[in-house]
Amino acid sequence: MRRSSPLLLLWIAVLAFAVPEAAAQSIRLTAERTPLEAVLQQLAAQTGIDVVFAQRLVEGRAVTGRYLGDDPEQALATILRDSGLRAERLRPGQYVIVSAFPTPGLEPEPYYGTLRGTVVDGETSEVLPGAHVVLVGLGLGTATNPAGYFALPGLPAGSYRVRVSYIGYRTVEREISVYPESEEVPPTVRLVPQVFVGGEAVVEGTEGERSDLLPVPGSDAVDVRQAAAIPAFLGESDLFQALEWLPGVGRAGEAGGELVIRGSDSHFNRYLLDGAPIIHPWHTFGLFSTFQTEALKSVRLYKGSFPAEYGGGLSSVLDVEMKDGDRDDVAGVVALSPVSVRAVGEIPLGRGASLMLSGRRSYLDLLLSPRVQATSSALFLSEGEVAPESKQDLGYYFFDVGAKVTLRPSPFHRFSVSYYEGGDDLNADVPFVSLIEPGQTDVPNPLGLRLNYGWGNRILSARYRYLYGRRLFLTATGYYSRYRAGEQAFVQPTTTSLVDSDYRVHFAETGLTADVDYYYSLEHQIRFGTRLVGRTFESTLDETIRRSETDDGAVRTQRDAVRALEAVAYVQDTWQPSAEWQVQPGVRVELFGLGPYVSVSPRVNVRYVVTPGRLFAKAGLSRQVQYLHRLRDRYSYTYDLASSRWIPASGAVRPAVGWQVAAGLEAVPANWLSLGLDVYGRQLGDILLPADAFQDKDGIEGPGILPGALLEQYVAGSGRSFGIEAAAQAERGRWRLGLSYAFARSQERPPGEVYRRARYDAPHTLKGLLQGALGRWTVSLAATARSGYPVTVPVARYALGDVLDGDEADPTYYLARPAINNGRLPVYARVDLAVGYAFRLFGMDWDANVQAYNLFNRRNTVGQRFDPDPPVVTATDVQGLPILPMVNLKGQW
Amino acid sequence: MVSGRVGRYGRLGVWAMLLTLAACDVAEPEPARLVVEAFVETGQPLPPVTIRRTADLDDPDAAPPVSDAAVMLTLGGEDVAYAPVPGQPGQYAPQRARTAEAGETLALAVTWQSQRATASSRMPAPIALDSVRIVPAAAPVEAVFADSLGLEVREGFLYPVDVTLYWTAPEADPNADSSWVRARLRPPAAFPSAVVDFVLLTDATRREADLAAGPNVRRWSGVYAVPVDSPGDPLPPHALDVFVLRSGTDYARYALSRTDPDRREPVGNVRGGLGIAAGLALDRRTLAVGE
Repeated sequence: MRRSSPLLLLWIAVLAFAVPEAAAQSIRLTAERTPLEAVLQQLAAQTGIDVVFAQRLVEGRAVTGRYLGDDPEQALATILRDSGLRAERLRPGQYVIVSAFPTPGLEPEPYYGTLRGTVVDGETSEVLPGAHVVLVGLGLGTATNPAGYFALPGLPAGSYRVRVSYIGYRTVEREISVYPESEEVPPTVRLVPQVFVGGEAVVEGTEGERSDLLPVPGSDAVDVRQAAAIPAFLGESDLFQALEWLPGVGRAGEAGGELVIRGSDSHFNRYLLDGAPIIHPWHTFGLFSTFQTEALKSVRLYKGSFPAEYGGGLSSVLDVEMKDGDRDDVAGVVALSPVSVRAVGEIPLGRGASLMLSGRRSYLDLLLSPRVQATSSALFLSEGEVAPESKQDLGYYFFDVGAKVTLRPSPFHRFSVSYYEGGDDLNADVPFVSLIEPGQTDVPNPLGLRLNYGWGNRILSARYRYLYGRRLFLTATGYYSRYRAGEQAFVQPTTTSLVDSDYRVHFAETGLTADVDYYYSLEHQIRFGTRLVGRTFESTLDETIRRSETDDGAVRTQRDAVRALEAVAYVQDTWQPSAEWQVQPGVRVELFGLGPYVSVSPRVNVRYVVTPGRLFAKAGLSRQVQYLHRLRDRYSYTYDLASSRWIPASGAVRPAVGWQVAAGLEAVPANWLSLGLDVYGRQLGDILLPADAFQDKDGIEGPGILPGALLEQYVAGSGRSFGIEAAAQAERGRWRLGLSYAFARSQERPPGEVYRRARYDAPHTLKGLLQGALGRWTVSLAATARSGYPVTVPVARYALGDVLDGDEADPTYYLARPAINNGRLPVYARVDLAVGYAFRLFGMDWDANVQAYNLFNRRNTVGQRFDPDPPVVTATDVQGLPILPMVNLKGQW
Repeated sequence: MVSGRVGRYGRLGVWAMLLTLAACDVAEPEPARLVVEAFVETGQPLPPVTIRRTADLDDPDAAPPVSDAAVMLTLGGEDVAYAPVPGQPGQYAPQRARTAEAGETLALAVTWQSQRATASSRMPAPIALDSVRIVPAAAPVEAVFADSLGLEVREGFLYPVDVTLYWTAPEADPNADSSWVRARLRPPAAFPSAVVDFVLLTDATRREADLAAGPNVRRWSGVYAVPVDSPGDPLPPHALDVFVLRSGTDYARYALSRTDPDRREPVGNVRGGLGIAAGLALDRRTLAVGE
């Protein structure tokens, strides 16, 4: 952290100097039958205060008066004297003009009400969480809650001009009234999506949202429509591949892999789908995510300082919401990529109810293996059931299905049920004779290899949202999330030997959560809630290793089953003491049953408006605790190859703890340009690191699956990361360009050692994404260049013998690797291109898309191997993928 | 104005330089290090030790000997000086006869140029094979012969041979928990199939307590294979070397980590250098099989 400290200090200093000093203003006002509106504007210009008023109150009024002093409130009182009006102070520096002597029947009674509403997609009526709602003139604003609802209480009666914006949508302004007689049903603000690519129309209007109203530094709202058009590996439109282009986000592998946020391993991320955790959110060993982009409504990634409602991950939280479904029209998407066929359907059910259905399945197995027997899946076997002999030579597929029903019996009640199931199935039945004589698979021969691997998630989530009165909003969620994996392997290399193993992992989380938004006042919006979570961890291993006919065989049956309860309470206040400042203090208290452990995690985020509409500063500090450790056996091939195994904190292993500090600047120098700069630092403790970093699976015998045997392979260490991320985004017409640069370091330290590079430490990353449209043609060009990931390289060679080798034997040659991750692979660079053509056919809008992964066919080095044998040590580079052209077709109606 | 601009740019330059430096990965050159190889057997005269040094990666001499080191072995508190063996570069022999006894502590110090490497160990109780049981299969069994890459696959026949070693547990030993045993079968030739190798077991290092077969009996079973050309061939007569070795944790860690030189280097016990200097007890037999 030593090298990062000056950078952080510099950043704090920049922020400190950026804050203008508050100085007493000298006010000089002289009015002689001057229009009131002009005087108010003059006062605002001299003092910097915000004055808001209904036009009908001020219109036609003239005032006379003189004020010389430095008190804006006195000045207002002076000029409003005898005007029949008075100024109400909303917050420091903010005033609203109201009637001083309301006359029954002529003027409304003195009344303070709540300006509120719901923000929805203008085309589908989907609610838009996180939309910005700002009172024009006051700079006072809020963001919609997860149900798209917003409320600004404590406003004097009147009609207010409100600007509503959301990423990916055109900003709109409209009048919303606050009167006693205002109807009970909150008004609906409909936003029209911006069309950049994939469509012919350009919606006229103001530009979209440029800054983020959330005070949380390092959080990104993702435009899911834009995400769907980003070039993707094998043309498979995928959320993780879209996130990859955000600053600070990387992938563990070359063409995919798990998400790496700011250099941290992916098991420190928390993934939420409709409020339920998703344990293993990827397919094909991390190549694709389980999130089907067209089925998503909103995506927000917290890379740093989380709000108090989030926990369970040290590095990041990805909060994803599925679409509710179009309330008004039947809509749908069908798409074909070289990997999968997928579809999304949205069906209005009447009376405000809607249904969304989605599905995806890869299909190469169907084309390559005509004798597929899907029932041979290990995933669907129940306990003790033996996998049927499959006739499938080699098959692999993945699938996702999703459904969401949303009921809206009234504007105040909303109920939704979401279901997701997805999984992977790898099935190999390879008689060895088929390798000797290709095509002779029907010859009876016991020698062979049979694998049945399957893994997947199932989620059921039910959510109820209730608007009580105008200022209280309740969200209650119940969910069940299950991850299940099975690895069955049967290998018979001789007629008298075999390896037969059956390994299963079952992890389930059941939770009840309640979140309450209480719009207490204009200055305070309080969010509090609880979570009660039960988790079950179960793993079993049945294994037989028989080496010869007379060998009795090593038979092992192990079972580990643990239950853990967790209770959480949090409270958070979004405090806006002035138009410039927004402070979000919070605290999260967690009780974890195994151990037990009690943790109190403070969170605070701050947003400061340096220049309204142009320059914003953010800072945050938070503590996170993660009670689940993901571990992997590092010895045996017979189990724990494809599964994710989680071990809860207990008396034997402490929970991992992280502190994060972050600060950022957002600038909007022009309506078409936004700039962002974030600095961050993260310190992790009690994270599990391999006790022997060089140990990897190398045999059929292992220490077993019991937690003690797994934990012995790890030590509790610490980690840290720090960096700077700079991003720029420009939008002109139908073109959008995003550029980002990240400087980042990520390090880890086993106990008693010094810090070393973490596995995904990449000091420099440059990314660019250009998207645009010309007529019916669309283009999307994505480029990345980053430092290569660390690699452990030898520095010398030496020879060493062994007492059992005999005197005549040559010694064995080894490579001296004095430090882990002491080297680095060459720079990784890649350019991807997608060109699409939009057309209309059979009443549907189609998009035919040609994509090129690694357009310039650069052979990146993604790994290195070293051969120690004489004469000289040679390094062999493992090369990345060449250019991969792909064609996709997507239709929607 | 100009100086202010220069100052501002200067500060920016300094910070840019700091940022660049923070992102730099500085690889320090590695000087040659001492490599020590010493295995001292309980109940046996002190053996020679081998001292080499590390070589650069592009040095064709992969095992450069060190012939001008000062080597001192301390056994049970008694120093034994070692001297280079003429005509055998890197070999050092004790300057006087001494037998290592069970329970004695062992310390080795090697000084070369400005380097000093040290290691310590403890002499384990002696070990002796009580019996060896060898059970070949009655007839050849069918097997798949494949190289490690699976490029050459053929069907063939082999005799699996089960071997069980028996020895006596050490007498009450306060360090019994740290007693490890390595057992090894060394047939005349390695078996030519990566697939079958997967299920053979010719070398294993275990905690000795895990091999208990009775109050004082220890047992380990392994399997090796002998290929034959046809299902009717008899088991070819051959010699089999069997080893049983008792040691402490230091040698056990070394033995467990030295089998994959492409991936890793062995875990040694030499401070200030590389390699191993361990006390161990060993028994070996050469047995005739198939006659």
